[in-house]
Amino acid sequence: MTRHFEDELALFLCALEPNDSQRMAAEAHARQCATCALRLARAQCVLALIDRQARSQPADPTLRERILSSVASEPQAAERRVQPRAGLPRKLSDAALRAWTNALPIIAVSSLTLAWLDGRTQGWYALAGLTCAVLEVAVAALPLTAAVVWTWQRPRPLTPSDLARLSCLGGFLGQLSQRTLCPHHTATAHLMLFHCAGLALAAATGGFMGRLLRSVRATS
Amino acid sequence: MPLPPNPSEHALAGALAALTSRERAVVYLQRAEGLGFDAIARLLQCREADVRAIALRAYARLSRQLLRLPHPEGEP
Repeated sequence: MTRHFEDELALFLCALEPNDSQRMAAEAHARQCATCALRLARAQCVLALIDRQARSQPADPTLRERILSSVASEPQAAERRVQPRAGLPRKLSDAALRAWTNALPIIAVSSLTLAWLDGRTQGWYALAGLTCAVLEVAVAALPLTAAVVWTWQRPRPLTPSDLARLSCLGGFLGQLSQRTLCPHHTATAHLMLFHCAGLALAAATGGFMGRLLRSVRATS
Repeated sequence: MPLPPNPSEHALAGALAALTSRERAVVYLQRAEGLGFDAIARLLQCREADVRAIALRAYARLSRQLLRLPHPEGEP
């Protein structure tokens, strides 16, 4: 490093291994630049304080598990930035997935609107309603399974929230199919309770599946 | 130019708390546990370059809160 470095970089440089090339270059520059030497000295003092504070924390035997579970749910911006592009199909599929997973409020409102518009008569039809809800969850399992298989080997898995939204979309497709399959598709109460509840059940299944997968990945 | 006073432990704790959990984990594992970037990458199941980028961002954020030194010669 033959140029000055900023305060922001000084702390990072001091935290590097002594034989790191970036640190060695910075130290070589600091031998000729009083200001940068001062920056390094100051950063070294702060780093010593950080060390003291970090080491004063009591060791927790579950630390590794807690770190893994906390980082698994956080967006990995750095990973996304440095990851090489895998070509147009990958970019398109990522964009489609993002669009799908952001559609939960639209899906929920559409589901209720559909039930409200279709409802012309009254009646619960509870037994048939359970079949309707189960069928929606079964349809929701299709995109859910596809997403799980597709992202299993990825460095950043889908979050439980992503899977809940995808599953909800599948549930909504199931609800659309119920407009012709369900013999009671004109009963408002039946639609509002069972057809819309099927959607919520599908979302909950997706979220549960996401949590399960995350814990499996963390322990494997 | 004299060295400015060290930040208080209270300010340091505040700056560490302001980091994201991922950044705090990397700083903690590096400074308290003495792990290198490669070992942290294996632990967090990501690449060493990613850990390095996270550490760079974490220390930059700590510096913004704890270190402020004007450069008399200006940046080149």
